[in-house]
Amino acid sequence: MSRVRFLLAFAAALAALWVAPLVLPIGDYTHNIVGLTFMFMAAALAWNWLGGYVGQISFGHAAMFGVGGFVAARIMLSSGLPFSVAWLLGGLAAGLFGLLWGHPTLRLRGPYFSIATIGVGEATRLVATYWSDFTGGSSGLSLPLAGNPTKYQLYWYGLYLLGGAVLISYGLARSRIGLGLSAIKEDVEAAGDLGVNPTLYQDIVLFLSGTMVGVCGGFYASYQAFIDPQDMFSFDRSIGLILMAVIGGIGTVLGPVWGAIVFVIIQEFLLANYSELYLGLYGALLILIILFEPLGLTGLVRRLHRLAIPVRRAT
Amino acid sequence: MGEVVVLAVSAVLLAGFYAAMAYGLGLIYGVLRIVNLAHGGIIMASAYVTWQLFDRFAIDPFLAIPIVLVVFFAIGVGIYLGLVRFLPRGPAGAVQSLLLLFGVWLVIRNVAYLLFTGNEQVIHTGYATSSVRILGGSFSATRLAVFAVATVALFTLHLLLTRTYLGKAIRAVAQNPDSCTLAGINVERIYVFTFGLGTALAGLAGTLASTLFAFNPSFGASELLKSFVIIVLGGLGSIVGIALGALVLAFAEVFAVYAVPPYLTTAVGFVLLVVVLVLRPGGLFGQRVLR
Amino acid sequence: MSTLLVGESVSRHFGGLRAVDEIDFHLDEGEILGLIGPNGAGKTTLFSVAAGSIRPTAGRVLLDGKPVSGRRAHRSVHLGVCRTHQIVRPFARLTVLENVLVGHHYGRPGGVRRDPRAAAMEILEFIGLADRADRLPGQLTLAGRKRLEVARALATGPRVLLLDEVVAGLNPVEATRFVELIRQIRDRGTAIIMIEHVMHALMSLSDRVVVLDHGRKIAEGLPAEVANDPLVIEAYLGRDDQEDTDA
Ligand SMILES: Nc1ncnc2c1ncn2[C@@H]1O[C@H](COP(=O)(O)OP(=O)(O)O)[C@@H](O)[C@H]1O
Ligand SMILES: [Mg+2]
Repeated sequence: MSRVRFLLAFAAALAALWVAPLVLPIGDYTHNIVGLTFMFMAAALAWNWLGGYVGQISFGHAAMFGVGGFVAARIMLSSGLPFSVAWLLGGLAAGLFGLLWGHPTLRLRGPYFSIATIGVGEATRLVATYWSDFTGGSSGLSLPLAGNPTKYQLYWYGLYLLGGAVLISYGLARSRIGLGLSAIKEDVEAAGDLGVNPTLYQDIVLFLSGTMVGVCGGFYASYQAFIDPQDMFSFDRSIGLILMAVIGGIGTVLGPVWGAIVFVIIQEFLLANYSELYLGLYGALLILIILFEPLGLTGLVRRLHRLAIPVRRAT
Repeated sequence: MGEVVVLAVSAVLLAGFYAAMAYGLGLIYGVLRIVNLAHGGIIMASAYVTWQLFDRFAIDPFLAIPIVLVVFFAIGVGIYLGLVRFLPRGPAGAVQSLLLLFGVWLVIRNVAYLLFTGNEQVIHTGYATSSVRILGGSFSATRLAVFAVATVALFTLHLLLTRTYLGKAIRAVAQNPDSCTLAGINVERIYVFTFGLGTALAGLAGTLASTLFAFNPSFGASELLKSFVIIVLGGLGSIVGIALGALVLAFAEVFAVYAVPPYLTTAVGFVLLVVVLVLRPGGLFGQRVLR
Repeated sequence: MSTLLVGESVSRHFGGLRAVDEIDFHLDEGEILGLIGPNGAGKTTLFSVAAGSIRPTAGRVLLDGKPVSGRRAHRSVHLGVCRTHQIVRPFARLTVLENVLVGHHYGRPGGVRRDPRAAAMEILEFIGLADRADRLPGQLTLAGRKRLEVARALATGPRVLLLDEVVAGLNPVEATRFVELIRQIRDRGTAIIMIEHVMHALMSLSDRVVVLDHGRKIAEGLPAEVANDPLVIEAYLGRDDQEDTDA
C-alpha cells in the first residue's frame, strides 16, 4: 500500500469510527466494550513494536501498564491536572521504567530476554502489591469521579490512542528506523557491523512501547475508576498482549488490531461462560498458530489472497 | 555467628535443589538452542504426579522418582516429536519455539487446574517433621534427602555426559551439529533424547519441590526464572558452572533476609541477574551463554 | 602515499588462547593488503578487532590517528572501517536491496542523503546484483550472497574495507570476476585488507602481504617475497593439518 493510500484509508476509518456511535443505534454495553478494545489494540500494537519489529518477546509489559495506570491515578487523585495530562505523565513514567530494566536486559537476545522479562513482571508485581502507600495494596485505589471522563466519552479517547498507535506502527515499519529494526531482529551483530546501533534503537523502541502501554494503563484506570495492583500488574495482562499480537500476526503493521478484536470476542463472549478454560484455550491457540500459521490472521488472509489471485511469475 | 553458619548450611542445601532444577533447562538450551519455556509447567506437573502417586498409591515421593523420570522422559519425547520438531531452526525458530512452549505451559496449567482446582497442595510424609542437627542448626530430614538426591542425580548425569558414547554424542551435537551429521551421528535422535532427558530432569525437580513446598497450578514460574538466572550466572558448560550458579543464587536469597523484607527475596534472583548482566555480560563463570 | 590504518601491537586472547598476539600492521591509502595464514591463525579475529566487533585484549587500531578498535561496531563503521563476514550473514527476511539500504542508511554518521534507493541501486549495479534487487538472499547463489555481503559493506561508504575470504568457495569463473570487482573497488578509492586462501587471487591483487601464524605475524612483504619465505612455507606445509593448504 502506498503511503497516500494508507493515510487516506486511515483517515476514513478514523472518521467512520468517530461518528459511528452518533449515527448508529449502538447499545451502551457494546459502545463501552469497543472503546476498551481500542485501548487493547493500541497496547497490542505497542507490544508489537518490540516483540514483532525487533523480535524481542516481552512477557513483562504488564509492568508498564501498571506503572502507567498507578502514576496516572496518583496524579489524578492528588492534583488538579486534567486526566489526559495524567495519562501522559503516567505513560512517560512507564517508558522510563521500561528503560530502567530494558537497557541492561535488551543486550540479551531472544529467549534470554524473554525470561528476564518474566522476572521484571513478577518483581514489579510483588513490589507494587506490597507498596501499599503508593498502590493501595490489596485494596487498590478508587479514582475521583469529578474530572474523570465517563465510559461513554472514553470511546473517543480510546480511538485517539488507537490512531496514534497505528500511525507510530506504520511510521516505524515503513521508515529508515524500521529497516534498522528488521536488521537487528535478523542478526544483531551483522547489523552492528553495518553501522546500526542496536542498543540505541532497542532502547528507543522499548521507551516508545512502554510509554504507549503506560498511557493505556492510565486509560484503563479512568475506565474502571478503580485499580488494584493484582489486576494491573498480573501476568495474564502481559500474556494478553502477546496473544493479541500473535493471533493477528506478529511483526505485521496492523495484525495486533485484528488480534485484539478476536481476543476481546473470546474474552467477552466465550470465556464469560467457561472461565476455567481460558488459559488452556489461549495456550492451544498459541500452539496452533505457531505450528500452522506463524503470521496469524494476517498470514491467513495473505494466503487466501494468494489463492484467489494467482501471482504471475516473472521469468 | 551461629546464625550465619546455619544460614550457610541452609543455602548449600537449597543450592543442591536449584542445581538439579536448572540442569534440564540448560541441557536443552545447550544442545537444541531452545529455551524450554514449559520448564516451570513441567516442574508443576511433576509435583502433582508425585502427589497423586503418594495420595492414591501411598508411594513415597523419593521412591516415586524412577516412575517420574520415565513418565516425564516420555512426555518430553512427545512434546519434541509432536511440536518442537516442526519449527525452523535459527532466529525465526527461536521466537516461535518460545511462543509454542509457552502455549504448552498454559495448557499444562489449565489441565492441572481442571483436575486439581487452584487450591494449594502439600505432601505430608511421615518424616515431614523430623529433623537433623548440623553445625548447631536443626534441618529437616526432607531437605537433606532432597540435597542428597539432587547431588547424586547431578553426578550421574555428569558421568553419563562425559563417559558414555551417547553423552559424548550429545556434547558433540551441542558443539557443532553439522559436523556431527557428517560424522554419521543421527542428530535428530540426539535432539529427541536430549529433550526427553531435560524434561525428565525438570520432572525430578518437581518431585523434589513437592516435598519442600506447597504448590498450585501457577507453581513453576519462579522456578523457571531461577533456573534461568543460574544458567546465566554459571554458564552451560559444566556441572561445576551450574553448581556455582546455584550456590550464588541460593546464598543471595538466603542472606537477603538481612537486607530486604521476606516477600522480596524472590526478586533477589532477578536483581542479581541484572547486576551480572551490567557488570559481566558474559556471565560469572564458565562458558558464555550470551553473545 | 599516506598511511590510513595502523594496528599497534594488537592482541586478543580467548581465555588462555592468544588468537591475535601483538600484531603491528599498517594500510596505506589506495592499497590492497593481503592477509594470509593457516586456519586458526587469527585473521578473522584481527578483522573483528579492527571493525570493533570485539574488543582487543591489548593494543589498538587507529584510522587517521583515531581509534577504531575497542568501541562498539557501529562506531568503527561510522569512522570508515567496514568488514564482511567469512560465512556470509545476510538479513534473511530483507530483500537484496533492503540489505544494501541498511548499510546505506546506517553506515554513515551524518544520516539523510538524497534518494537512497537510487544510491543503493547504483551499488547493486556496480556489484552485479541489480537484476536481483527484489529477491531474498536465500534465492541467490553462494557467489551472489558473497556479492551482497560486499555490496552492503560498500554501501556504508567505507574508507577501509575488510574482506574476509570473499573469493573462497567460488568457481574459477566467478572467482576471476570477483578479483576484477575488488580491483575496481580499490580504484574507486577504498583501501582494502583481504583475507584469502585462494592464492592466485590474493597474489595478483595484493600490493603487500602479511602472514599470520598462531596469532603472530611471521612475515610481511611483496607477494613474491612472501611466497618464497621459508617461514611461510613451513607454516603452511610443516604442519599436520594439511587441509589448511588448500590453496
Ligand atoms: N569467540 C571466540 N571464542 C573463543 N575462541 C575463538 C573465538 N573466535 C576465534 N577463536 C579462536 O581463535 C583462533 C583464531 O581464529 P580465527 O581468527 O577465526 O582464525 P582464522 O580466521 O585465521 O582462521 C582459533 O583458534 C579460534 O578457535
Ligand atoms: Mg577466518
